[in-house]
Amino acid sequence: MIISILCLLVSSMTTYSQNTERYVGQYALEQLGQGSATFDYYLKKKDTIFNGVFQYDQLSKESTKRVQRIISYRGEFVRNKLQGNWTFSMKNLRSIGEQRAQDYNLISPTSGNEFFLSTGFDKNDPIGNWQVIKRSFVTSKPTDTLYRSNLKFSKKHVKEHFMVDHKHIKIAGSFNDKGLLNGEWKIIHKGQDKNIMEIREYEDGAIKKHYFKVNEQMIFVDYLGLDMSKEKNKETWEDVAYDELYVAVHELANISTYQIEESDERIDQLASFSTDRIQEAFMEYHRYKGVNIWETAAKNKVDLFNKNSVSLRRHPFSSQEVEAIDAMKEDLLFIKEKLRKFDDEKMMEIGEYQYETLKKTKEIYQLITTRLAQLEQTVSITQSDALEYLKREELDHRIFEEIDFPEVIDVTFKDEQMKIKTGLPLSFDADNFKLIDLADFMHKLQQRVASLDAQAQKKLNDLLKQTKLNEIEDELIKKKDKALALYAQDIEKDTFNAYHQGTAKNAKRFVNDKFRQYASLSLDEKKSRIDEFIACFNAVIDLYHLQSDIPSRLDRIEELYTRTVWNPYTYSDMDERVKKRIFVAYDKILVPFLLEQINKEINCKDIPRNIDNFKRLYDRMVEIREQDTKHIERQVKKENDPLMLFKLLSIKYSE
Amino acid sequence: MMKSLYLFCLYSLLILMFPYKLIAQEVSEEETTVNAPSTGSWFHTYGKFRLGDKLFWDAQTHFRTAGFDGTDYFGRMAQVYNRHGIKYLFSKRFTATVGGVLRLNFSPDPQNDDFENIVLEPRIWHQYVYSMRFDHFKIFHRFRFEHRWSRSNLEGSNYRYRNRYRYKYYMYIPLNNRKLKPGTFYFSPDIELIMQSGRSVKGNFIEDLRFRPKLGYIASPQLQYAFSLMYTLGQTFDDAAVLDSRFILNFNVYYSFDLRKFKKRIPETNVKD
Repeated sequence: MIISILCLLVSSMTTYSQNTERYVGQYALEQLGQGSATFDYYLKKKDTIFNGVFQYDQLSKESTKRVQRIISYRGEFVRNKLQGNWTFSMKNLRSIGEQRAQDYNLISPTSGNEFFLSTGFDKNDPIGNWQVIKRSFVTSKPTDTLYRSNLKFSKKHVKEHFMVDHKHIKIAGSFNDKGLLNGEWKIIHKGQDKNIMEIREYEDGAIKKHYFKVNEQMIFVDYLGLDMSKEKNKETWEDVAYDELYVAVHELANISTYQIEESDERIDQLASFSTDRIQEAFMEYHRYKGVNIWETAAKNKVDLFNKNSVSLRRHPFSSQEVEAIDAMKEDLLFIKEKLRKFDDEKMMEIGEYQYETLKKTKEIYQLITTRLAQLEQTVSITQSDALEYLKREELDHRIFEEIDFPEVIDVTFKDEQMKIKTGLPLSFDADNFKLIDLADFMHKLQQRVASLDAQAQKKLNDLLKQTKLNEIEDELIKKKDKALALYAQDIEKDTFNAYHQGTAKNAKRFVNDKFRQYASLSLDEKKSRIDEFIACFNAVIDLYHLQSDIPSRLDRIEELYTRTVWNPYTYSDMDERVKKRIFVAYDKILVPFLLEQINKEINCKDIPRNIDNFKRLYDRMVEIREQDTKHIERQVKKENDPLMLFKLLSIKYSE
Repeated sequence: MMKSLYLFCLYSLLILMFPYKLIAQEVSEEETTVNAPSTGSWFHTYGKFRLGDKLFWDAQTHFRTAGFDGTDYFGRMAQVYNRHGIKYLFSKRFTATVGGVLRLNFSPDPQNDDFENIVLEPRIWHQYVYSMRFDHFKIFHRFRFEHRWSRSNLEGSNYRYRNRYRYKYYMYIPLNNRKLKPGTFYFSPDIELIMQSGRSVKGNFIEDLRFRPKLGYIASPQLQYAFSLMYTLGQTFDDAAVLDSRFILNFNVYYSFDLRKFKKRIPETNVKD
């Protein structure tokens, strides 16, 4: 007993031995920055622990220089936790009127508005009445309360009642013991002449009924694909915050179009307005104009109250649906990009009058462009997170409108009227909606665009070539002259060797023949085939350079496959062949075989092939020099067929 | 080339003349007589196994026969040698070797019971070889020292310890190539003077003088062959004024293997040529 009393005494002494001090001066809150503050605190392991009163005021200039923003906190901490009454205020004030002197200060009256939030906390948990007031000031005096919302927390720290009073709307409702919207929520849309009553019935967070009362008539809001009963499939319901996603789900599902006589608005627009106000009101209890109000004040990150207020049933996407959603986004991007590029194409100015393909492409692209906004809208719905909360099989044309393209259109080309098939896909069936069908439609459209683009690009390249043909022909002639000069030994005399000598006659004849062949082509053929001829002359030049390298490459392999051994009897260095069988196969069979091919096959197709084969043989011989090739050496023994030797040496021989 | 050959012949002649004069001085007053030449044949294998960049294992096995009982050269088994050593390569021109020999001496008269059939003769040996490179041939100087414990095959004879001092001068002259390389026939004139010392050596300091003109062939860096007919001249044990002479057929096989790991044997290759 005595020990217990002593322990109590010691612990209480320890508690009170923490000396609380008061700080007055500049202090920075993490999200807001510097402000003037007054607070009580003590230090614990060099950490500042708020304990006692806390006041913070920050004055900053808004973008317009005359408006000043003042953010203020008032409240109390107990060991870093929010306790008791707290207020947050954000004022936008503008100095008006004449300044007057008071003691040593210059004072002027202000006008502006204020967001004021008063709350209650018990160790960071919200309690009691929370209230948001938005009001205006004129000459430093509050004149008008523009907005008021109340949220009451019960002792169990859950939301209990909610009320909004706004000049356009009045909302009142309550929550169940889990903090979810429950029971009847009455919303009054204030009109100039007559108010409109909106009723939302919630059951455990799920909206059960939603209607407007007009002249004692109930006009129900129609939701498509939205599950409104929690009785079945309870496991697929999720408690979520009344946030942007919840609002998006409601706006997507709301298909009502009823026009109320007493209002200019349709009921889906009125419902949307009230949904937005509720979401905004909930949010403003913890976030206002980008400031996370309580996380900023409480220093440490805390979830001050359960933000989940409503329930939604989720219908998870199947893997095919996920793929379809991703594919649609890619397909739309592709289509838009191609349309944009085609639209920017300068060659089209003359092209559409010259080529039927281009004219046809232009007309079809214009057709797609007229539906582009609809395509974008459709794809954007599929990209929305809200879609997963709607039953896709129940959706129809009221959400996904069918996109129809004509099969045939009239086109005038070169003063001739013609009908052309668009080749565009038939629309998906909106009344038997499936995401996969929509994706299929988008993909077919994308493929059609890709096909049109490929055809158009070919023609545009033709046009480009036509304008640049003279330049390209200059290049062709230069290549031809260079190839002839190389083999005529007019240039690079030093590198001319026996291998060049072996092919020179054939190479020169080939180049001359090819050039004559080009010269005899029609203009259209020249445009389409000039690249082929340039590539051919390039191949001859490449062959020349390969032949220049052949002696050094052969020497290199010879050197690689020669080892110098010191003979301990004659005290001499002696050269010895390593991997003899492989080297013999290379030296006696493969190299002569390839050189013969090079000499024999002087044509556009075979020159690059023979160059590649020779390079691959050389690279492989270098590569296997340091590898264990016992197995290969056994296999190449007695093998004389070059093609089989290529295979045994794992060299890809192009035939 | 001709000049080099001329100088070589002159040098060889001087060396050939030198031992006769030396022998004559040793046996000053007595007249020197040379016994009728005996015959023999030697079959030698020389192995060199490369163990490291600088080390070789030298392994030699010699089979020797002698003329006997009316059969020249191949009459009886004379000796079997097992010579092993470790060779250190100081440079490509100078090497040193140290090791041991176990020689088996067979009876000079196999039918005679007074002789033991086989007598063992152990030796310790070390040698130093220096090579001189010329444009088209090579000259070698070999100094070998042997410490031998030997006895005759006579029953009851005692072992006696002697030292041998051997100097050998030999050349490699390629015949069908300018350099010594695989596929080359070569001529190798070879002269060796073997001197001895020991308690039992009385005036017969010159044990042997060997003239061995070899013809050889280099089959590969690892294998070569040589053949020669050697003439030797040496003081007899009993009477230093009496010289023994021999004609010996000589068949040699030289081989070498590199026992180092594969990668060490191959110089670095630039793969990204």
